[in-house]
Amino acid sequence: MLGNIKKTVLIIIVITTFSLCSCVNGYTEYNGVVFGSLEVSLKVDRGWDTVNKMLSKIEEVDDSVSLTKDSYLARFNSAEANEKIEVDEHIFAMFTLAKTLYEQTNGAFNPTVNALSKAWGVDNEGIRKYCYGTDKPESLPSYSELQDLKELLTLDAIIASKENDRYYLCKTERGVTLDFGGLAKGYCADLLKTIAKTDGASSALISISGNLMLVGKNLDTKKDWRVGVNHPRPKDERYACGITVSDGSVVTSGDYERYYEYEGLRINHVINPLTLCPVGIEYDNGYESVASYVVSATVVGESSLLCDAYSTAVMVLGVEEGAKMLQSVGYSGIIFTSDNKCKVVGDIQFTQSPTNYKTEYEIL
Amino acid sequence: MTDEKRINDAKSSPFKLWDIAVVAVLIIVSFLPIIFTVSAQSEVKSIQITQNGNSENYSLSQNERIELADLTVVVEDGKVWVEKANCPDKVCEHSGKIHRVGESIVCLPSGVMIKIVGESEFDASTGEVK
Repeated sequence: MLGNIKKTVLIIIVITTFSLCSCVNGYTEYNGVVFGSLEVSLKVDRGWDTVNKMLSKIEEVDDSVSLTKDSYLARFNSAEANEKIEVDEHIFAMFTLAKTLYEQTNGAFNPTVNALSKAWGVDNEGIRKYCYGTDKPESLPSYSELQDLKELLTLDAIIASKENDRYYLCKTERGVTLDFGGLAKGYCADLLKTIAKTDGASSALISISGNLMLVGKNLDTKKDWRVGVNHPRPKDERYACGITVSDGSVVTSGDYERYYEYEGLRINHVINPLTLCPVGIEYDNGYESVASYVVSATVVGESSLLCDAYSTAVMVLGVEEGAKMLQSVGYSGIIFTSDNKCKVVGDIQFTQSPTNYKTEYEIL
Repeated sequence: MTDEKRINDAKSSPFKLWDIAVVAVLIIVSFLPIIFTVSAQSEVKSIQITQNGNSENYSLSQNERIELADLTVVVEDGKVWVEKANCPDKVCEHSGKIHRVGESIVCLPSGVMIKIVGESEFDASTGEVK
């Protein structure tokens, strides 16, 4: 009888000891640079098996869309008119989704815009030279030069087909190219979420170069994930606001990392396919700065691919049209403009509102 | 108190002296994990350098130059930056100095990620990246 009490006490103590150990950390974490192009952070409440599966999936997608190696997409881009190029399921899926988004956003999201990016010096090579390096382009493209590129900016010049479980893309116009830079990270984040959930994860934080995908709650804090929204003009402060999210994706597009200055103009990497100019620049017998334009668009919603595409579209459409578009598709967002205004769309849970920080944003 | 009474008292209690000692030790042991996690956080901010999936932590309060294969990381007065990168684009050299939790410098060609880690009001941040 007395022996039993002792045993019970001992067992309780031993169980307490072990349970304390196990609740210290149930996550497997990976941080690193993957394939020389992506900054990846993975935190999942599963083992290395799951994390390794996620890393191979990133490699698989990168192999199909990378423009710096001999990928399916690179092959398509250098193809001649009417040459049928075989692609994989990822390219085919992204193309199909891109086409829907192109129509849904009235052309504000356009993955053929790379011809313009190149002309403005904000394609991959230009970004390296002018935005990160200290080189300056000799001149800006002339407006007539940009207008000549217009015919290359249509998704209608690309035909996708599927025959016997093989996928093909074919262009009707030589020189039409695809760049899935504004889509592939989101596409990949969605696939990683599926892998985590299939393996039974109840909590995960996935970040692919700033594209966030969040699953469940943070098990350490037992609360929704807390996300800081980077300040688009980070002089004194790092964040513009803070939000909480559980089960969803957060993606931000902005003009503040990849840009260069040219004669007082801020040439950034988001090109408006409708004006043919970078967001924030307009043509009126010469290039000039727009008084008020979107400098940061954060989109919150279920699919990371859609968040990725919508955040770019909001930058292009501007604050009013962008907000309307988000409302119509049921996604939430936080939009900051160059003249310190902020528009919140839909249901966003703030931990720090944009008015709490040093920059005084006028809420629209 | 007689010896006989002491023996009787001991018999009437369900625990002997050694039992209590064992219980006490186990209780102390059960708190060890907490001590470990608290001591791990005692330095609020530190530098995490990741290369090829391997991470190593460095102190932010100790001034030093960390020589890696392709670049040199300089730690001075609580700030971190990159000097002498052997890569073609020099993005990491132009990234400036970092000191706030969550800030990072990434050298894509050499696959090096330098990050300030520690307690933060946020679990992640969203924004444009280089």
